[in-house]
Amino acid sequence: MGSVGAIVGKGDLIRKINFPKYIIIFAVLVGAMINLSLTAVVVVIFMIIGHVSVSWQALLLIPLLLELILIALTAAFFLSASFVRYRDMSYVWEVIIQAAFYATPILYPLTRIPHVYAKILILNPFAQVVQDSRYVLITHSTQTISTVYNGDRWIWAIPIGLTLILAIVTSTYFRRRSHSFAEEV
Amino acid sequence: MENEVVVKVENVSKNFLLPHERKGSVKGIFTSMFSKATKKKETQHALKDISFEVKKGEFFGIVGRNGSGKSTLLKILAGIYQPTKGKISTSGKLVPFIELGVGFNPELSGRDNVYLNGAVLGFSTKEVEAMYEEIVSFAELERFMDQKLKNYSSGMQVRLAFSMAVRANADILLIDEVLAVGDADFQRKCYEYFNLLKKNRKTVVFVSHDMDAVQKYCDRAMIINDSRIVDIGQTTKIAEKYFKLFIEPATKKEEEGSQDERWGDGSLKIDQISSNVNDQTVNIQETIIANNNVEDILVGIRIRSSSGQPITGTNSQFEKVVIPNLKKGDTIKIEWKVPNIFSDGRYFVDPSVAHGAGVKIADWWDEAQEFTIRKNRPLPYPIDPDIELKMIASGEKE
Repeated sequence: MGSVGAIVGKGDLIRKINFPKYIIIFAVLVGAMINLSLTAVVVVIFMIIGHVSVSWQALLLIPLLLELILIALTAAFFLSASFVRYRDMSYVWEVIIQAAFYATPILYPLTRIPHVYAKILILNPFAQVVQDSRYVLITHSTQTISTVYNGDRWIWAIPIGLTLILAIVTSTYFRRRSHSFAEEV
Repeated sequence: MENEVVVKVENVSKNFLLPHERKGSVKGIFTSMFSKATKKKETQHALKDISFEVKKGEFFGIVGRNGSGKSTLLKILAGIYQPTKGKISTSGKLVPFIELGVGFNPELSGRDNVYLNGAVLGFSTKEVEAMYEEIVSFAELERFMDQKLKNYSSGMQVRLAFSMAVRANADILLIDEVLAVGDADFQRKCYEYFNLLKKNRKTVVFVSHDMDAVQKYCDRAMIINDSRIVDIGQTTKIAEKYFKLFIEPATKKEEEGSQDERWGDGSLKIDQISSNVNDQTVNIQETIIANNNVEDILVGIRIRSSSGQPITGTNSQFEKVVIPNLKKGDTIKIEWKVPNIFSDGRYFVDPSVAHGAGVKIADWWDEAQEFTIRKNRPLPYPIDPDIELKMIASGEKE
């Protein structure tokens, strides 16, 4: 994600003109979205080759995508604002993103890990989004958070709630810090 | 409407923290948690208790030495910095020119950069489209618009940026030393732009070191020194104070340091001064006392109108009068006979005396004396010499 250095990278502009700083973050987001839509083309091609039958349920991808955007924004708000003051944030973040990648069932199926750990792992909003997307898009045999928790539908509230709370906290942090960006950047 | 205040600054202070311990990293947070090093922080007071108002249509200058806080003030006005204390209020659309060509991207073509900079200046794409041709022809860059900006010469970049800037349709403009760069031709363009701004009665806040430009364009000016306002008022007065800032050590030595209108090293003093006006001349007499042995004495005089604008002046060097060297305690008496060319009004006399071939100011006394002219000819011009009007020929149309 290019959001860590987003504010610092636009320091030239910030020091010379006053504008709402969140626009920078949204600009990064739009860039990432364009990237995503290009990779989506590849996914669609492979889905056609693999004869994946797509049902109307695929439309559920839209709210999932919104959740993903919110997660991305949360990270972007926190990282870009803290990087202004703490310039080694980028190295710390590299480690965290590595860990988060392996904590998300992307390279391995969720069924391969012990049930106890799977229960914790799926609470991670990333993992929940990835599993849910597979469920609606590819096959219903994918384990979602609710199947891990024996069909409990309310369990979705945890990763989604976590996402919302973090989004509010980080955007508040960003807004507070944005006043001093011009001085510190 | 003319007297409407559009920029109001009330008791604004700005502090910057000067950290003496580097804590600009996540690592720093952890290490400082365990170290008992004293956390010293020094505050730099960039601005202290600044209050002023700018009225609608006014050309307001801000002058001061380097590091006096002018640019910080401008950035606060532009909303880039937040004031630590106090508040500012502005009404109307405000466009700052802290620098020309903000947002220019060297990787994009000239055309794209016009749109980009236009957005920074607050234009919509449609508005930029409408004036695109005009901008390009003003910058004289028709052939180069699809060229990448990085391949432009710096002069071309500045031309493009400037022709964008002059289109900025703002109520209040903040201009920071844009004139410091550019060749004579560019500066002339800048001054033309200033004249246009004045003609259109735009509100301008202008930061500069160029006293000529400040005196020429500004209606009022403010001088800042050591983060504080020294004075606000007439530009000529401000320009004079600005130059005085650079002779500060001499001012401090002055014994009667109470009046800032009088300064110098005190080796010579203007003791008595009187003036009397008749129809032909204004006679000013002064007595000078030497407090030390001084050589190469130079006496000077300047006459200013009540608005502070210098009208005329001279000194003993121009008049080719040699003042003898004086010993401690000696006095001399001099008289200036100035032809009475003044129009009606009040005038100030600023006598001065220097030694060491005019380099060391011994006593400079602003508004030491004043006189009033009553000719009952209220001309709107500062001088009223005998102008003769004659009818040379008259005839009827054939």
